[in-house]
Amino acid sequence: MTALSPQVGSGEALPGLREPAFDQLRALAMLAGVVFHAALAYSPLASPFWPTADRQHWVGVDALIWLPHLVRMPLFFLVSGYFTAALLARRGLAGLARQRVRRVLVPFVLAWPLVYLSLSASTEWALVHVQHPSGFLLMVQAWLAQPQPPALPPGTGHLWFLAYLLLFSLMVWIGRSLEWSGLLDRWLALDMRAVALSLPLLLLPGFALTSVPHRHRRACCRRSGRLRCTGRFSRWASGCTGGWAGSRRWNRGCGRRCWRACCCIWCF
Amino acid sequence: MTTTLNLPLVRLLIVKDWQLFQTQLAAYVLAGIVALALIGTAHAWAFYVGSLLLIVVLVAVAAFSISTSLLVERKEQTLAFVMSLPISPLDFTVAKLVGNLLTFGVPYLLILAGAVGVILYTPLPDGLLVLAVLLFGHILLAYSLSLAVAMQVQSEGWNTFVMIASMVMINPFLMLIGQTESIATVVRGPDIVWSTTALAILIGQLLGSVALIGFTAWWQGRKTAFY
Repeated sequence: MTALSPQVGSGEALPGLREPAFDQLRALAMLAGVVFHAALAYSPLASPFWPTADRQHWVGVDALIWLPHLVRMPLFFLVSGYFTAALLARRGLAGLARQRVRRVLVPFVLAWPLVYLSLSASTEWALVHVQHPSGFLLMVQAWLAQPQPPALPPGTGHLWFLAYLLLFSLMVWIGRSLEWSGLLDRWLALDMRAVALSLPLLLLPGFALTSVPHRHRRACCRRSGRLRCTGRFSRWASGCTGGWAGSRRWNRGCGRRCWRACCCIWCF
Repeated sequence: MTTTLNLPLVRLLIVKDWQLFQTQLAAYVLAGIVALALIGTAHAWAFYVGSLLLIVVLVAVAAFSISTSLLVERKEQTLAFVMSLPISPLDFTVAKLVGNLLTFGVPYLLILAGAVGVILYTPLPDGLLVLAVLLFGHILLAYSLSLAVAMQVQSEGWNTFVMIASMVMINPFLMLIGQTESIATVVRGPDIVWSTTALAILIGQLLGSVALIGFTAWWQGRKTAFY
């Protein structure tokens, strides 16, 4: 991020917002997406929920596709964030809003019904014609066989990321208007190890608002059970908090706690 | 007096309003997102807190837009400055009306879209959508009434009264639609049912809002002087 900031700030390194390296990176990530979605048919992990799951599976497929997939989508959002920052520096919020409406909102609104209808139609066709239906198709068959089958839940289908991009753009407007950049600058001015290790704190609201099916013996309710169900959260939280608070005077003990906590959150 | 609008200057006045209030509007949208996040968890306590926060935010957005761009400016006598600009009373009316609709409309539509999304994509019953849309319809109608009065009536007391009264009416309105069987019975259901009563209320709210704004624009457009 620090390496990118000077380029974004000057705007000279981004003539026309075209950067071959980033284009190639995006192309690579998109091709990885094609491979991922094609390979899901043979993945034992995806077999229960993937509509085109084949009867033949190979565990090696899971070993090959899931790690790149974990990197692929965050990479898309990271690249998008990079270009958003560049666009903001060059054209400001109004330019960003115009670009987002033209390139994200309008395609999203136009393509959404098409995607929804095509997915519904292809699923209905598959229900009738596929000789060896997948677990997912069997579930849909059982679902539709009910006397009064419930309506299909609405969804954005494969366009989910466009909805998220719009939401992130909205957050950019809020952040810029409320001048959160000063807060961000102060945070980034801390010791980089503390910055990196305090990132998992962003997960805290998500954990706090997520229920777990079973109450933990040390949890007072299901919600906090999510926070405490493995005990790792406590260690992570204490480590991160200590790391953040002590970041100005980084000491070895604090560092140890944070590294240990970071390992915990990854295990968690 | 010329009837041609000085569009570049009208645009500048609208942008001025937007830029002046952008920070507060962003804070309102953020508060709306927080409220919707609480509602979306579909837990009783979070739902009640979120709903209350959402109503407070919507009322605040509606009142903020009118009070800052019309009432406060009137009190601070900024009209004298505006009259020094090369604009006609019609330009000023259009700028104020559009500026107000923009500063209210953007947060309102964002929060409305978010509310629809939250109801449809979370475990909340989809039937709640009817109640939510009617609630947003009431806010729109109350805002339109307050805006119409603020543009027509100079008295700050009357403006404050209308603003508060129209927004406070949200409580009786919620009680009324809560008592209406065709609406109340479907709120907790999985299906979105637009009964004749619900549709009639919504159409009434929309037509009332359009009529109020339209009448205000027409009446103000006939003025030949700023006062």
